[in-house]
Amino acid sequence: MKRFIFYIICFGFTVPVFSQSITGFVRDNTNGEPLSYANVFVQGTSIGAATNVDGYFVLPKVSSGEYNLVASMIGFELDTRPLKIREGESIRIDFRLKPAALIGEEILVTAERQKFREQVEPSRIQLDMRDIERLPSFVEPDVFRILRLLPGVQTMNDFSSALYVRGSTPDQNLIMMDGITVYNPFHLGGVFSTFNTDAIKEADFHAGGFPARYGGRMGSILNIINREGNTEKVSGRANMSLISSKGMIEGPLPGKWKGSWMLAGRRTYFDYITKAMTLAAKRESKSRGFNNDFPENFFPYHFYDIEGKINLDINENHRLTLSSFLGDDIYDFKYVSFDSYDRNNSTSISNNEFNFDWKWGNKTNSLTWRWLVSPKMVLKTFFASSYFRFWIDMDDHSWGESEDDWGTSKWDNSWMFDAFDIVNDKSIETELVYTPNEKHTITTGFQAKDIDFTLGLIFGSKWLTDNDAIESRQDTALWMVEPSRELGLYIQDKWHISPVFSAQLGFRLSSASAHNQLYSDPRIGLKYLLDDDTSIKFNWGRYHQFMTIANPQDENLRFVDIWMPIPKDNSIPYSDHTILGIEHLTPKNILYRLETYYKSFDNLITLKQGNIFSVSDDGMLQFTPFNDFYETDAYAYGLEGLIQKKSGNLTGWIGYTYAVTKWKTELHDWYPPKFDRPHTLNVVGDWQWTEKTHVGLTISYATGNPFTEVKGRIQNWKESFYYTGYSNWWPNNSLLVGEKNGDRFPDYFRIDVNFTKRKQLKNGGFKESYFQIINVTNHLNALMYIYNTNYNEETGETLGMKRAGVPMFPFFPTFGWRIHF
Amino acid sequence: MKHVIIISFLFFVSCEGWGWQPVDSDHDSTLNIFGLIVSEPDSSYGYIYVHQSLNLQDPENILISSDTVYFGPGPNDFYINYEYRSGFTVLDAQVTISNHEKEWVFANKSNYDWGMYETKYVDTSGTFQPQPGETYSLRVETDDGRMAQGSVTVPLRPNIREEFVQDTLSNRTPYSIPFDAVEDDGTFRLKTKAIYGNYACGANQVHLIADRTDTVWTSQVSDCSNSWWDEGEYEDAIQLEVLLESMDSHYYDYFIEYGNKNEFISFIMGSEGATGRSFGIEGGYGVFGAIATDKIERIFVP
Repeated sequence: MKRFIFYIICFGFTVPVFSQSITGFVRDNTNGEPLSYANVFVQGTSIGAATNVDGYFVLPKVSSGEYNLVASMIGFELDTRPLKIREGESIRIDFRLKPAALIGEEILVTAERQKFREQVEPSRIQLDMRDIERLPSFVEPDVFRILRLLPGVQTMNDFSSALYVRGSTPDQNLIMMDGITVYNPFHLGGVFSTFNTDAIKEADFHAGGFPARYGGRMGSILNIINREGNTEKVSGRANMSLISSKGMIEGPLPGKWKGSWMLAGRRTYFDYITKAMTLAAKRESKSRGFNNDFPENFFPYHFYDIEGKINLDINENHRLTLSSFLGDDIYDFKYVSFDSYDRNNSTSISNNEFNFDWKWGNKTNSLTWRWLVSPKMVLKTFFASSYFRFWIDMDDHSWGESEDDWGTSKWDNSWMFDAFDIVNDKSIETELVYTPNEKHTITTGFQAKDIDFTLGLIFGSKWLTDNDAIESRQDTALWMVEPSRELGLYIQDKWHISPVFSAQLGFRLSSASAHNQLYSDPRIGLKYLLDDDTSIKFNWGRYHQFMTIANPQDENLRFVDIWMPIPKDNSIPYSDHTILGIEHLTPKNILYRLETYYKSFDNLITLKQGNIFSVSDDGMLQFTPFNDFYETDAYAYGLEGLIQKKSGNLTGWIGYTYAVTKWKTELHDWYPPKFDRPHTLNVVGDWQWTEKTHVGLTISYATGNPFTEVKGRIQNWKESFYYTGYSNWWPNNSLLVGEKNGDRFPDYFRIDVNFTKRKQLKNGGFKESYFQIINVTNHLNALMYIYNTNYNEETGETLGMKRAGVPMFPFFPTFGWRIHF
Repeated sequence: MKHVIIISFLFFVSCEGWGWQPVDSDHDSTLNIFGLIVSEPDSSYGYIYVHQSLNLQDPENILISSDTVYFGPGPNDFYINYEYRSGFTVLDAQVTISNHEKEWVFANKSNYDWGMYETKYVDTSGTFQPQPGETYSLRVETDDGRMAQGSVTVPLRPNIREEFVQDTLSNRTPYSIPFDAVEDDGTFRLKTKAIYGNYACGANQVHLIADRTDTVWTSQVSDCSNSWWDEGEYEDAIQLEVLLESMDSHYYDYFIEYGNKNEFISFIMGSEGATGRSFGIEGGYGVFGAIATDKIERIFVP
């Protein structure tokens, strides 16, 4: 393995650069942000390339002569530079494009067409800030809520933005922020994503068939690319919504340093609102003569995130990037009570303190070194750490003393409960991109991850004995420490075989320490241009995954993911993706895409869900193990259609998905998992009504999610003898259900609208106020049904069952403001 | 302000109609049987509960009478006592159990307990004495034409090797209970329990003997330092019963293998349930199982 890496690196460094080439960066003129997927081409020839995520382009083999080099990008003015290139010369030209209104159809057509020609991967979508901010969202813009509107992507319900992509569950998505894995990218149990849209530059999403540089997941890839920071001046933006305030500020590095910095933060104010409500309730209670004990705050919950980035350009060829993120959800409930009693020779003083401290969140850091080894060779080395922890710390302490005719007694008792799941991931990655000629772009690299998983449940108690001594006891109900080391080595060639035929051939070799085996993932992508406007794409690839989550498949709400490596006794799961698609880009810049896919899953595992507590063979109360899984057979297939318009006064897309996913376990024959929705239609639009006003609209329709229908009631007998010492059997009322997920909720339907009004500021910035309504028609989209018994209140006689649908988002208006300066 | 009022009004108005709704289902009510045959060294018996599954619209309990109970002289010193029978219980079943020689007709017998009548079918002839190794067939029919049947073989009686068990057992040190290896399909479970209403920490223990080649069980020493019983109150020696059960596969599967496993759960605000299991029963849900036991008594010193 080491020798292989050595050869690859040596190969990269020693390949001579004989032919003339043109390289450089394309940046936004206003702030110096690199423009990814900008198109640079030599006018009058077929030579051209798209910039990568760093804004870097390489035109490797340009014949000597005089040309016009053109850079174009959607939303920016065209930039043309005349140049003269001599034999054996390499030229570097950096572009800075000026923003333009999104109406220059000609510019856009050129840009989109170049991108259309370049990309070999199917199922890939890039969203920029504009796409994310303009569309209606729940309370505030959220990248995940936009992604769910794309074909092939869905969420289980309105309360969760965890993504289910083409039959894959959220744990099968590799979600990254600037290339760093983020394990639980959600706040408030999934209502909001971790990513502050003010800091986001763009989101690069692969619904399937992703290239060899990505590994360790078998579903999809989402890379959130944060802003680099303004290299020209200090600027920023601020946003205030009903639940949070957030801001971002960026600017150039001070003094002689070349580079930029960016700092963004967000904090919710649930806790301040609920604290004010608690105080009001307390005052009201007191004014009515009650002296109830109140906690400081009934619902002391908030979340925050802070992210920062520093780019340091050491010279023209070296750049260091330091990136950090810290985000936490915090629920910190405290209740203190004091009681005293003094009557008839009897006194008593008692105190109680109860704390419920629940924190979960991510902390990531990374240092990236980018080295332009030669004009055709870029080496990126990346050190990163990603830490996720979920921790519940509950403790109760009561103490006091009493005195009466019988004597004096004291007590001092406490108990505690800790539950935690910690993922500590340290990674090193190196990637070399080499463009030897106009036909080949070779990407190779290795990735090493050292991940520690720690899961624990601890109970403890302390008490005061009759001898005034403190005794204590601690029980560790669960303690799992699972280290895992993952290694990955990959190579990929993007090969323009002919002007109309391209291939992307990749191979990835990986291993995980708990499983003594090497896993190979071949990946093949083919693209054939039927004409300038139409292409056919085919992709096949294998994708292994070395970790999973231990969450029940039937849960309706998921607060956190419980991550763990694939147990040693289970084989490593993998999925094969087969994708066939056709794309057509009209002269008016409207993209039509039709894709069909089939995904097989092998060695898939699903948690054996059941009661959280059970009784062991020895009669002891125990936790259901977290690492007990069913081997699961699965497959998914579907057909997706997308019509997308990215320019003009009206932009947006219409996406339709037909999807089928089936699972099979030893308990149940083939059944649709809970997230399966055969038909989904999303209409997403942003209309620039006037120069200052935008109207956004999303219409979502989908088949209802499956659920297990309740057909009746039955009494199951249970036996018990542990405490009485005598066996007895008693009937326990239980619901009688039909086939697993054999029925479906009514169809999902939701219309959201958004109105945005912009006002220009004197300093060149602007401020916007927005108003949006979620679920305009107030359609009842059921999250689940709950059942209860109907009673005759007078006689207590039962009258059968009743059922209520627990609704997802109702009609919900929100508003907010944002300012860019 | 006008807009805020309009929006607030819309918000509250729009939430109407999202409440509880009566619900029905087209499920065919199915017999649900719990039949148990027990063969102990000093007694043998069997009984059958005949229940049925209910539709969602069916009542779980049915009011059969009400009585005004006065507890004081005042005009309001009364309460109304309601008596119900369970909607799950089937009262009109013809229940017969037979072996290759004889047939017993079981009759229903009701007990009133906690405001509800509980009914089970028992042998009233006094001749039903199930024997280990014997196969018994059950047949349940109702007036509306439903029928369920099943059969079970009573496991061979296990044998505790009493001569090797100490006279006095204690929680403070492990003690061993040797027994003979299993010779049929039964699964063994060993229980110890305090008898005659006594209690001692560590006396009650249960152990499933998963390995059929096991021939000895060793007790666990329980930590009684934090016993919630008052210290000193239960320090005297007590009588301990050691019971070795052999369960047939129906009983084992219903109560132990699948007893704690739900096929369907809904994490928060949801419910749990199952598709309905049957072990040893055809034409309905439930279980027709059998247990054969051996038992000895010993002195137990806490």
